Amino acid sequence: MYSKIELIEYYLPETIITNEDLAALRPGWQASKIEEKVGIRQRHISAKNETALDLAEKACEKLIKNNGYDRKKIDFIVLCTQSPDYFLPTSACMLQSRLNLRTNIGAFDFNLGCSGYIYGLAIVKGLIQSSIAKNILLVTSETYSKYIYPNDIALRSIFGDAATATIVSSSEIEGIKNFVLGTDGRDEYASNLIVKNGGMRNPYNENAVVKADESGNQNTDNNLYMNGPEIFNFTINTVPPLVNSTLEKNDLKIEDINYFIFHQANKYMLNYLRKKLKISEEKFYVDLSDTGNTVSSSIPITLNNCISKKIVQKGQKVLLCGFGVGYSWGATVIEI
Amino acid sequence: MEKTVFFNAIRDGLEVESQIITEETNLKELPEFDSIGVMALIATIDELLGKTLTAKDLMSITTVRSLMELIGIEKFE
Repeated sequence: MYSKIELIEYYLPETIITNEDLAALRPGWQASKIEEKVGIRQRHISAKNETALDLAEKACEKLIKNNGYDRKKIDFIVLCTQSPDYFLPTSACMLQSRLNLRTNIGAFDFNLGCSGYIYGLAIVKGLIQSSIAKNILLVTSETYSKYIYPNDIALRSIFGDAATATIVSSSEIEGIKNFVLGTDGRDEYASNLIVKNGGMRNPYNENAVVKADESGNQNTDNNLYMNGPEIFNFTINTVPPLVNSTLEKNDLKIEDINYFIFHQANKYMLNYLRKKLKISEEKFYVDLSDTGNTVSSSIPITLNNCISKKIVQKGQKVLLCGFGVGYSWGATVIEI
Repeated sequence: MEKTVFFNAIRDGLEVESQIITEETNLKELPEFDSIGVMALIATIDELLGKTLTAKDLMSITTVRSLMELIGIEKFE
């Protein structure tokens, strides 16, 4: 039994924070440099009482409505989030009810960041191949903005909130080919992109110390922390071999790929990776200007945009590649 | 590697065209050496010399000379 991506939609929350909004909070902060180098002009931020589950519901309803998709066909939900409503119950279970889906279906969450969509595709391919499900709703939804300290302008400039919904169905052609997945969760890597407090290891601390970096960005251990230089190092060392081994595993050469869609982390990093891999500019998408880095949603948002703009067309081979927090990484080749 | 090639690569990486880069240039005093500049410097060193500069390395460097010592002064002529 083969599988393929049938439909994709995404939802961006209404509130928009522009670079100018952030510059107003930090005199001297160069808004134009963020747009020019990091490639971000604005990002969408969830409202105070709007959670990742709310965004997920909106993305799924949009998918169902815009495509006239029969919700009764959905027989499994797999939801990727690192900002669930509760420790328990699982967001995917509540999503089943909110979407008014059948009750004789499976549903679960999994916790990954920027590699999440690739892992999601790997999971749903397995569920279809083993005849456990036929029409799976794969959801990514994230609200990192809620983890970021208000005066951490650097992180606020990078991350945006978003949710996506993808229908992956059984198919006569193999639309999702072989995967290469990777993990290295040693302490010094795990601590480079982390929310330290709030889980079982370190409870949320109301009196957490406010720390500041050289540029005046502040945060506490209750908030999202990212060691930018180390994450950049991880990426430039991991992604090129990941792409090459994915091509090899699929018996393909770099020129066989019609288009490359990487996790949209930042423009500078993506262009550096593109050059390192010797991928031509025309085959490589870089656009996070209106959304920022949307974590597990960045690949499906980009894929959706590429399909609607006809940059990617039926029958073409697209290499998808995700990498980030964990460290966790993965890539695959899809055929639309 | 010729020192001038290295200096020019740093100048281009950090986009400090008007600045003359020498061994004595203190990178930390350049306004361009912000989080984006750090990323650019990492990329420049990776591309030129295939060496990974860690966040800890970046804390320890000040002048271009200290960066060259970290990479290995014998690599420059």
